[in-house]
Amino acid sequence: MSSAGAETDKALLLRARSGDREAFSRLARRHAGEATRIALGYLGSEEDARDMVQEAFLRALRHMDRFDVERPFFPWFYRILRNLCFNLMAKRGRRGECPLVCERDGGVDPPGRGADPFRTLVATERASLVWEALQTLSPEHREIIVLRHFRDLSYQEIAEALEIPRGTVMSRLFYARSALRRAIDARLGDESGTLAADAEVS
Amino acid sequence: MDRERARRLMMAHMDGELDGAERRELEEALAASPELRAELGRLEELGRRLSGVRLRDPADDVIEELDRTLTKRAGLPVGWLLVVAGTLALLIWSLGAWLLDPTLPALLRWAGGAVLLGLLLLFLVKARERWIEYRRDPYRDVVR
Repeated sequence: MSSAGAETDKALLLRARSGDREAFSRLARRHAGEATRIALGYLGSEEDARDMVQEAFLRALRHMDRFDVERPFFPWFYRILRNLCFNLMAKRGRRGECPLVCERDGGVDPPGRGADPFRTLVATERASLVWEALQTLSPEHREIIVLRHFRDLSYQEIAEALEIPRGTVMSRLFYARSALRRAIDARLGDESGTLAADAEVS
Repeated sequence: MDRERARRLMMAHMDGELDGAERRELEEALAASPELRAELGRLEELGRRLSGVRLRDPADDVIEELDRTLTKRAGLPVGWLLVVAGTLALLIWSLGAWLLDPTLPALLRWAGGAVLLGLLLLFLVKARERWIEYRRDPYRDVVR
């Protein structure tokens, strides 16, 4: 979650606080990619993800004086971002394209670049299946799946970002994974065609 | 071991976050419970299904766009505040001076007063309208 750089987040934050806009821009550039990927995992739409990330950085800039520079920047920023994303999700319901890609079985990103079309189709179906199932989960469950599976955060990093104990991370992961498994199974029950194609490729 | 503890340890096992003591604890629990073994098997199957699935990379211009937006939007509130405050101050001062100028004919001063009152009313009506719109807007917390 943290990035190595010539200047630490803390040094940039201290400069940003004293009105150095360039220092804040550097900090934002450092974390923008990760923030956008996470927002994409919640919202599906790249346009919405960009909007929320921009808004989160503006809010972070506005409330910079409330931030304790002795603590890591990203978890604090992440909480602003996730609140914005969750608000948007609650208001507009499910929307957005599938932001997942499957790189197994010849799936490529973006689909269709020199790969076997059938395998690409299966990979796309597999990613869509996971995305559809993910969208049926509660925001908290979806969040922990995105952070663990799609951003590969450690339990410690997740605990810091969500301000919950490590044990709660483990427990929430169990219920989120169980719910995701049930949602995938329910969809697979309806999609025998996809299953058959899956089995053939695997 | 209680079930909740076993479930937590199963997660740590799947994610490579178990320490030595926890591993032994989980192994004992799994050896004693076929139900737990089945549960772990189902979740490991989910892990296999998710492996290779990842979030696609956002377009390359995300960072450039963010830079542009931060530069553009960070200065906007201050800019607008200065423009609106300055304009209001000038307007009030000019109309005040106009109304209180004893050298002007009464009709002109009445007209000035009417303009001031009219502007104030228009401002209040518009402000009320915007407030009602804001209260009803489901996307009011989302700044685009």
